[in-house]
Amino acid sequence: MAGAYTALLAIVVPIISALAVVGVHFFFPKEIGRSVKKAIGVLAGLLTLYLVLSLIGTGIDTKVISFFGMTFAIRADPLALVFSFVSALFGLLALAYNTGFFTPENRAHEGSNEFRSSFFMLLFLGAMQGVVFSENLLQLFVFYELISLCSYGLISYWYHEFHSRHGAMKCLMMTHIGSLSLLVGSLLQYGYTNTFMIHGLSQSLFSIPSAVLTAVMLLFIVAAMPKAVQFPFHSWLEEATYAPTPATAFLHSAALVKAGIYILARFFSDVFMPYLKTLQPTILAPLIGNLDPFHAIIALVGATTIVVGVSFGFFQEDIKKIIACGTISQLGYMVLALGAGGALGTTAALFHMVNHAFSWGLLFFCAGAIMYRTGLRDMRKMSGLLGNMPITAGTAIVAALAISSVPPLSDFVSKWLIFETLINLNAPLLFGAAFIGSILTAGIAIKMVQIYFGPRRFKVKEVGPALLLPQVGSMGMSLFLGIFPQVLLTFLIIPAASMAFGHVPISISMFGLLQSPIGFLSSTVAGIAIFGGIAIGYVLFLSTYRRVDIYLGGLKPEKIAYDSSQLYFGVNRGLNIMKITVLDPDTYYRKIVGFGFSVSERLSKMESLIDGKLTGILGGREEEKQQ
Amino acid sequence: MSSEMLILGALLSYFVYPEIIGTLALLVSAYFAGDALTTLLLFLASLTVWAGIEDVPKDSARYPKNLFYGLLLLFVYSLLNVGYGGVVFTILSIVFGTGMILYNREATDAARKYLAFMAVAVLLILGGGMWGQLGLLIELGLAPFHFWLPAVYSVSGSALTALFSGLKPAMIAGHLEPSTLAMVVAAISALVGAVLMISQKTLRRVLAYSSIHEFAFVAMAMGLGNLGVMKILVLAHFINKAALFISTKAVIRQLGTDEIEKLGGIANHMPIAAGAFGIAALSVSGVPPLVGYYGKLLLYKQMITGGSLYLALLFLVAEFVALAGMIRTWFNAFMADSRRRGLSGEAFNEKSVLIILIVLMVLGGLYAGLLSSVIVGGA
Repeated sequence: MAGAYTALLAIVVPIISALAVVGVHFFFPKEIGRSVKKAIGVLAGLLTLYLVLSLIGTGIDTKVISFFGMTFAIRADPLALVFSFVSALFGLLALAYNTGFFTPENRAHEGSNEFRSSFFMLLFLGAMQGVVFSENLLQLFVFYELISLCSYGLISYWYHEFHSRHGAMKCLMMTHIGSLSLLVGSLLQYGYTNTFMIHGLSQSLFSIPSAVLTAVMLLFIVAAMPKAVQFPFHSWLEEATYAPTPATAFLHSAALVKAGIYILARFFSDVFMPYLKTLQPTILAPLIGNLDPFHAIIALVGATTIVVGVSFGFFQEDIKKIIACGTISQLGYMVLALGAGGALGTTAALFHMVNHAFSWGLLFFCAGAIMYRTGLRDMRKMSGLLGNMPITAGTAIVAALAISSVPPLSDFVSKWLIFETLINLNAPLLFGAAFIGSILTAGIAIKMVQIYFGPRRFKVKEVGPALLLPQVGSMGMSLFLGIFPQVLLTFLIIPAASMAFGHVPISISMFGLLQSPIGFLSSTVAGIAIFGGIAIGYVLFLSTYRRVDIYLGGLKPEKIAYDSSQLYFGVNRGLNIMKITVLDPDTYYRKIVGFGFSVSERLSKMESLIDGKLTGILGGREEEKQQ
Repeated sequence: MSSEMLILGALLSYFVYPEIIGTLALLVSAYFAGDALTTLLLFLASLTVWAGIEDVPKDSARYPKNLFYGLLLLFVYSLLNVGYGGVVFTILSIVFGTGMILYNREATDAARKYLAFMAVAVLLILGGGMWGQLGLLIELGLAPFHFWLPAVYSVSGSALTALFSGLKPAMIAGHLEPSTLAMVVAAISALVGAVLMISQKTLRRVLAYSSIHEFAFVAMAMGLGNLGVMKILVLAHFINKAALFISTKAVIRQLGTDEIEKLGGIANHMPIAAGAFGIAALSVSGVPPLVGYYGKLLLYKQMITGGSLYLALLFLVAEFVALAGMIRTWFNAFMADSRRRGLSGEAFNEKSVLIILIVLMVLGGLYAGLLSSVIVGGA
């Protein structure tokens, strides 16, 4: 089957399955229906993944296809395939997790059922495939809005809780700004190109006046920012964690946020490239390298988001929100790498995008498992979970190592490529932000794993296989992609990057040895070196270990111990001041919303006054009431 | 044939089963209507009348309900003929409309206000030219001539408000001519409707200001001379508003109030009404892929490619505010926590009509191109 038809099926299968879930919910007996809904979810996930995998190596195929009276412009190409693959594979894991999450044993939310979760997740999966395979800008806009609606449905899942409603509304309004930007940009370019086809726009770039094209490109950047949770549109992501965990993992790791990254990759590493290549570097070149103004904006937004996102993580005690903050930061890395541009930057961004789905998605799965058993979100109330839930703890620790970019896990490879891109670009400012972000990410990783150590506080046991399998699967992917990065690079990432840039300056040998402009890299060798070193050190330690009493200045060490957290006091305080004063856009949003309400109320009062007078003139009673 | 059916229905409804005769008369007249748009509008009108049974409590009614349904059918009859008989049928529609508003004992002030504004509108229409256009804008209820609209909506039953909101503008807006006046009033109305909506305290007043905001799009389409887009907009608006008003009616029937503060958490008891309200709230704000988005998309396209970028941006900002207002209303009215007991949920007629409207909102959006080609021959 031609690529475009397969891509259309990948869109349609989850959407039809979502409708099937609705049918089953309303027309099947409750108990049978529940099992059937779960089966539909997993089967649809499997089928979608199969369809996506079958697209590998098929090249570029563009077609306008009529389907049940609707017309779709579909383009299956390597760039779309990377995003499609991530959402399909992780979607399958999330749908599998979903089957075990909504049970009576779930202490976080007793008595809930999976109907809306399954429906919206499947619809979301279809819409996400629609976003990446759309060749028409208006069709892209529709799918782009559809994923906002699905997120809204998922975040407001427990709608009787204020936080869920508030989070959903915030997500919808913020992402709607992006959608409207996409719409205006699309309509604006149409006036000059007379086409809504994405690659038609690419061919007609030079027929658009440069001022208009500048506006269109800025609108497309704004279109991507809220969904890619970039500063200052990032604050909705924390509140989106009130969605059920399978949905949170899916939204935050593989779907919603990746749609924003896709827009940037599609337009600024592909569609607009012919024009962008003609632009001169900005005056900030000594700090950010020879980037054109648009890539410079993207890179600076990404760099800011890296630092802001991870800084906010330090103040979080909520087990899901802290992961959300880290996710914001990681999305900053992807945007930064896309902004840094070129074949290497795009490769790095796409690779990091795939890795992020599994490592951070795994953290969400682990958080969900803990909430499932304990019913708690506050990390201050947790400790010693390693003893209670050893497999969850083990996978969470691996995830923490992955996000700290420890080899041989996959994030190490993608972060390496990002740093290499920045070194090649000669961009000290961007490199600095990425470097600081990396250190702080390791900091929040340590904070996250603390709950697994220390004294046991709960009498809970490990979760069942439905919740464990997705965890183990994600961990396996993180390890696999770290040890064998060449698989992903060869089949998905390099074809996508070379589509726009031609040659990608990375060569791959048999054992995952990546040869790039500044040297070679083997995640496996690095991993062996690090963990081998630790093992040798530990063996040496054990062989010479003996217990002795140590005295410092005549005192036992615990008497003079210094609380290590005091070391970070200054950093913490600095970050807190920065958060409250500058970096928290919610402060400004609240002011804007407050202003809107005050205008509305004043106008309403004025209107009531006129209305009252009018009623009085007409001989009515309202004026008397008002007087 | 369509008009005759309505008159026959009006006569029959006075003697037997007024609700059923009213609904059937509209359905049959829809069948005999000359064009696709009128057929669809009358079909929607029949749905709203069917769902609007027992709308106003008996003790609040000023006169017997068989008279109400007769007036309703005559109101629709006169609206359908505005295009042929000009101002005579406009006056008739105002008379019948006032009669319907007066059905509720508490609606005297609203009826008086409606009559006064409509009288001015008719005088202006008689003046012709620009004055006539202004008269039509007043009849539509656009800001700053909108004072009659929230007054009428907040005291009337759902069938009446849905007809006022859906059918009346569809029949009147077609007479607007391309003009700067229509565009300026539309721009003011879009913004004023959206801004005032967010501070309203009752569901019906929220919907009234939402209508003022929506009519701005209709007037703008006509101001730009695009009859096709206007037709798509009025049809979508009727579908959306029918869902919103019928959901509101279901709430009022159960709780006796539509004050948003006193509602909260009724979604558990009325899932279909809550779902329909939510979907309609998104649709009416132009969120794809629901029926409300397509007409607006075409209008934005015309504004932006036609060089009215700033006007389009103003409408987009207003639309954004309106979306926030609608979603906030939906959450506060339907979704908050509740320990209510003893609510029986939606009645069969409400439930069935709301399900049809949900399907129409979704399919109308997915097949927007097809729908538009049916009603305007490919907009």
